[in-house]
Amino acid sequence: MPSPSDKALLSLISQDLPASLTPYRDWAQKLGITEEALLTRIKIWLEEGKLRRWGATLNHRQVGYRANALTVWVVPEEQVEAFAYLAATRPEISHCYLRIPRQDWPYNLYTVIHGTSRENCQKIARELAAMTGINQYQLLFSLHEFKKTRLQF
Amino acid sequence: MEVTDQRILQRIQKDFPLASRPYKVLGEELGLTEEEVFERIQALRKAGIIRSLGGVINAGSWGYVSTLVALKVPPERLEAVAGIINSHPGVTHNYLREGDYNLWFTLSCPSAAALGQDLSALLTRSGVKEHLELPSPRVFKIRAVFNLNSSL
Repeated sequence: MPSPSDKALLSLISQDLPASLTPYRDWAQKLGITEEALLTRIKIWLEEGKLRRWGATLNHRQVGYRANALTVWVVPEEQVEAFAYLAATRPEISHCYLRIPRQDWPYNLYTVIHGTSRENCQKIARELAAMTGINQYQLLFSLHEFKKTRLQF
Repeated sequence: MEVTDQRILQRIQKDFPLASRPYKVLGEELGLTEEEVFERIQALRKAGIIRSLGGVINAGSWGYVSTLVALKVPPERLEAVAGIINSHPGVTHNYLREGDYNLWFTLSCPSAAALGQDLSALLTRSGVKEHLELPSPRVFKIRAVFNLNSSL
């Protein structure tokens, strides 16, 4: 779990960069540390994987990716690595997770496909199926976004 | 979308400058003034095209435990159930999807015990009987970076 001082910085990060020409200086002042110390901590966290990325997250629908499909696959265990590798190389596939299958729900590989249209997403899934020989899959298109936020620290 | 905005968005999805004057650095890279980059980015944030700017926190690396849950919700109960699910701060994604299991959400909590308890409470409150709990033993890719080109 984060230490109190880590939590203070995580909390600021959760609230996004302030609209300032010197956003890191603003944060450093709030935390009572130097700007250099703040930037160093952020860089370390990026290297350690505690932060995945430092940049802008876009609203995919507003930049033309109108369709998004959680696509679930049944992949035999010995093919999981190869499948995941191929899925991950496709830029239209933003997420690729192994998940536990359940009774009446045999899917174990989950990918999120972003496309310009439904047909585009289906085409991407077909291509991946053809490349990997995995033919048991379902596209679960999103119809409505009830909530999309980030965890607040 | 204006080409300049596209160029900026293409550039800033990752490696946003970690420097005292990040907009100046971006301006130098893109051949724009610091002010113009700053104004355009703030406008894109206000318009909601930029959903967030800064750090994407890896909650798992900070000890959080997450899972994906799918529910079968009758259409007339969707708004009410979605509202109950949304009320938990650990629910960051909640989508209506096609299929029998039609409500899909992620839940993150500071411990496995908290996750178990909170999920149980949410399911009880929502009155939904059929659900799938789908934890992930392995993540292969998380990279929501989009390619913008002028044909979009």
